[in-house]
Amino acid sequence: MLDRRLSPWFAVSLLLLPLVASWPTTESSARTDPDRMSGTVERVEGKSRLVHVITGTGHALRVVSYHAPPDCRISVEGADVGLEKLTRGLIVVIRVRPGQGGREAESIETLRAPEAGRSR
Amino acid sequence: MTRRGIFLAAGVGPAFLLLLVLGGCPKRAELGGPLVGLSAEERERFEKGRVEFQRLFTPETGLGPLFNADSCGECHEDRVPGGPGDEVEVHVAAFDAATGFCDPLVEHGGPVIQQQTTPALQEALGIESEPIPAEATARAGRSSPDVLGFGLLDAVPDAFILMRSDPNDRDGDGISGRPNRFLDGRLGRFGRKALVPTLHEFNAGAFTIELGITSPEVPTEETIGGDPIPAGVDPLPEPEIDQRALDLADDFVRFSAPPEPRRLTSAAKRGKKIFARIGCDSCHVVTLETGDSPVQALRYKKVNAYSDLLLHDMGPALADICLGQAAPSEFRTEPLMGLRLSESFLHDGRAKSIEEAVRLHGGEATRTRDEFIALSDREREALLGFLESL
Repeated sequence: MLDRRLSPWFAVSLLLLPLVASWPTTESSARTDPDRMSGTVERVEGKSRLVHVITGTGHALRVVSYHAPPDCRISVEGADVGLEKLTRGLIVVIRVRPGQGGREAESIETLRAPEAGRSR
Repeated sequence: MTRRGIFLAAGVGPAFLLLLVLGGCPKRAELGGPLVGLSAEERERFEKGRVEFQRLFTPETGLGPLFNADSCGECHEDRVPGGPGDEVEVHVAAFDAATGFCDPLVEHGGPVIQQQTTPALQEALGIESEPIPAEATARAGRSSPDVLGFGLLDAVPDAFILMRSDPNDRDGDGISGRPNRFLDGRLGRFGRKALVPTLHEFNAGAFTIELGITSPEVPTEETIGGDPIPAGVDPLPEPEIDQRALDLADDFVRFSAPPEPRRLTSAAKRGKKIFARIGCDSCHVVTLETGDSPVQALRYKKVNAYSDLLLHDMGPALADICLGQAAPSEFRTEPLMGLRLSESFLHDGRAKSIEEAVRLHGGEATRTRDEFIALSDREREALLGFLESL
């Protein structure tokens, strides 16, 4: 008797479980992919090919720097360009890979800010 | 009517009224309390989070070496934990008007310049606050607002905010709100310049910039004007709090209920109409709507925030720093929910009354401000009475 009463609820719970588990948490947007970062270009050192990018969490902002080797693909608004076209203020997405002196940029592409943003 | 009918009418009538009173009125959240409709587990996290929010840090438990306060509750404290405070902190940035680039001076200790130092740092460097960078083109005061009900602001979908954006004033109403963007391009909404996209990030960052407490999400301390912390000054290993403590403090803010407005007097009811009539609600949009959320109490709710969460030009007299894409004179519309809890007003607390704050509005708000000034004394009092009820 008890089993018969519980079984429909149990079945419904089982059906709902994957749905509940797949709900995004409110914190998901703050988590980052370790091989991908995005931020605003603060400055570029052409000679050493260092790109300094402002990023952070809340108002705790940080500057992170990546070496962009010559084979690093750089694109601004979809067009491949040289490092000199990376100017301060551009919002970029950097794909990162292990390099000789630590982690380095594999590709740097600009993000068009107005289209960016959290989808929820 | 038969005797039975009279008996039934006499019994059912009052019982019906009692049901209306007990069950018909929506439950009101107490000031500083949790949102109505939280689960037992969420209420427990709210209570535990309040403990973390009030937790007092010392240099031995990680405070500093640069800091503005020794607990979240030191600044957000009036009436209830999470209420406003009288502390005004200092922010800096460098704005390049020619290119529009805003440098938050991260490599010089910005954008937040901490006003206190631990004894160990004082001894090492002889400073009592972080130095203001010479590169700064402006400095800004930032008062401590209440943070009650901010979980609802976090749950408003981006699309709802963007829907009201009108950067080029296409509708010709003189109001041209636009969104700010975080440094990675995401839509911002928290902070006086709307730089920060999510409440969780805002809170995680605040632990480090306000208290000097590192966490798994911000595992590095602030620099001292861009220079590293001298050896031995901050011996506690990073992170100084764990993820659980951070998440609980975040949940306290997220699950806090917005302050319930006071019951409107008849004059305040007139004031509410004047608020709309003279255009205050063009920017101080009365009601925002939340979207989907894993928290039922935050899901598809209406919140009387009195803000559009967009940036507006407030004129040169109020201008201070840039931040993200916000120009020096642009500020996010301040949410007016909980306004009655504050004793100072505007982003830097310079106004000592609501009326003074309104009179200091400029830029896009000039026309509405002038209409406010042109109101009769009676109408102005009614409007201020309404604002004081929020």
